[in-house]
Amino acid sequence: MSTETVPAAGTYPSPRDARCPYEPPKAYTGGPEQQPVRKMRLWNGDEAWVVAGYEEGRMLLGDPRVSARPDLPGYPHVSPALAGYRKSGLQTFNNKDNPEHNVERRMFTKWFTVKRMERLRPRIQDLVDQAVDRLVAMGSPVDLVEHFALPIPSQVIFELLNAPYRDHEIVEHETHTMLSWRSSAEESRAASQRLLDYCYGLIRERAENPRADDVLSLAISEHVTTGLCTMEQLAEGTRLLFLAGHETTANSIAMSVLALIDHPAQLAAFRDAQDPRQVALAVDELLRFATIAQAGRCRVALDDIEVGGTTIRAGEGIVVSSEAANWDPRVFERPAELRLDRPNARDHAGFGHGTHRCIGETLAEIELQIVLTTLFSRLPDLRVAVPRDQLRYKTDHTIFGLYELPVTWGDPK
Amino acid sequence: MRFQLGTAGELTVDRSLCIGSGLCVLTAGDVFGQDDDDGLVEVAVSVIDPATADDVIKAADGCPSQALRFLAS
Repeated sequence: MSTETVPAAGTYPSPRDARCPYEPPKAYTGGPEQQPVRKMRLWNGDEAWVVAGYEEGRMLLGDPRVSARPDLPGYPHVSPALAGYRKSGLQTFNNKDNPEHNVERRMFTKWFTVKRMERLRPRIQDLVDQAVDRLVAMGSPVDLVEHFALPIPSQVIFELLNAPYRDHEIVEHETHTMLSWRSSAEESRAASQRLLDYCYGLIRERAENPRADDVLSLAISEHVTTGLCTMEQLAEGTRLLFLAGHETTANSIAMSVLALIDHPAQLAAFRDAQDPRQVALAVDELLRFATIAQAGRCRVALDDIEVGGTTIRAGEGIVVSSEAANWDPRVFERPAELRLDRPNARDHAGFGHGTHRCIGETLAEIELQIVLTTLFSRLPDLRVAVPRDQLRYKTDHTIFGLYELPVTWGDPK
Repeated sequence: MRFQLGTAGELTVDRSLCIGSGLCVLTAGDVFGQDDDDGLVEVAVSVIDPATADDVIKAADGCPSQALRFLAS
């Protein structure tokens, strides 16, 4: 059992190796003993426990002795940008503990049920078909990120919130500034405020003109006017849905497309898959293999906690790495292999664990299922249009991915 | 709420902890559903068929917020 004097080893976050953009940074997983929990240094000189082990991370994320509150001393601020908006006092339920977290999250839970998400399939299929039509009309080469991977999830979240899609550039731009590690704390805080102001505008409009069967109208009538939540909490929650609703899925689409192109035999099997369960499992494996959450899930210990042969003391910061958990060889045998029929792919850590598990998980999975099956059936010989060393990865962003993915194809179907 | 799983053990359901992830619905859809009014877990049956016990136990193990718990007897 280690003691208080564990030295920090390496810096968090560390970049992935561009030669294998799917693999989590060795700084979290390497070392002689491949220890599941290690102390690392942050950009501002603070230290935090970085958790690479799957079971260890899951145990900590499910433990009520672990807090998600950035205002508590010891909370790890892993980049200036994240410190900027997390310290701003504008907090969303993903940075609150229970019981407050559950009260606020429940403004939205009924809109993300499995049944409701399944009902969106035909509409998402329409949006994806239209997006492929546009690609074909534009002709190749074309940037798949700008013209496909980003607009589809963005349209979906705008429709889900009944917000006008003409505003998408505002939301996409402010989200990027909030999450880019090149943003200063002040830039990130200001972007976060502008996105919040945009959400306030939507909510005020909806308070004046309530609509039937509408997320924001019903959040107002059922949660705000009843006194369960405030307008501020609704605006902050809405901001979270916008932010998490497009950037994550967009990067997952781009990285999944790249991963399939990189594995032709797996891609052939994917194209032939008839059973929707096979497609669902393949998407889970892609989410495992090409994990996009690279800022870690930041927490602070409220009590001394023993985990992975280490004692984390009360007040110490914790960063649970989903990317490392998804490549934990104790859980995912030969993790560097993409195996679309991996039996336990469903257990991947990409959506987190505990009370803060991603609210949009089913939506993201359905979007990816429709996007990938449609794209590769319409453009079967889709390939990367530039030399691989010209691809620019998002190594400087809360969400890993690609800035551009130029693609080309032969005859469309 | 408590449900007996044959001789295997007991399932407890605590809606106050539920986050509406829907993982239980995907794992054991014959037993678990989500309430249209709040999106939180509902048990669709009054008695759990022991034949579905394996899926129910899997759903409890996978529940992210420990709203479902399985206690082996």
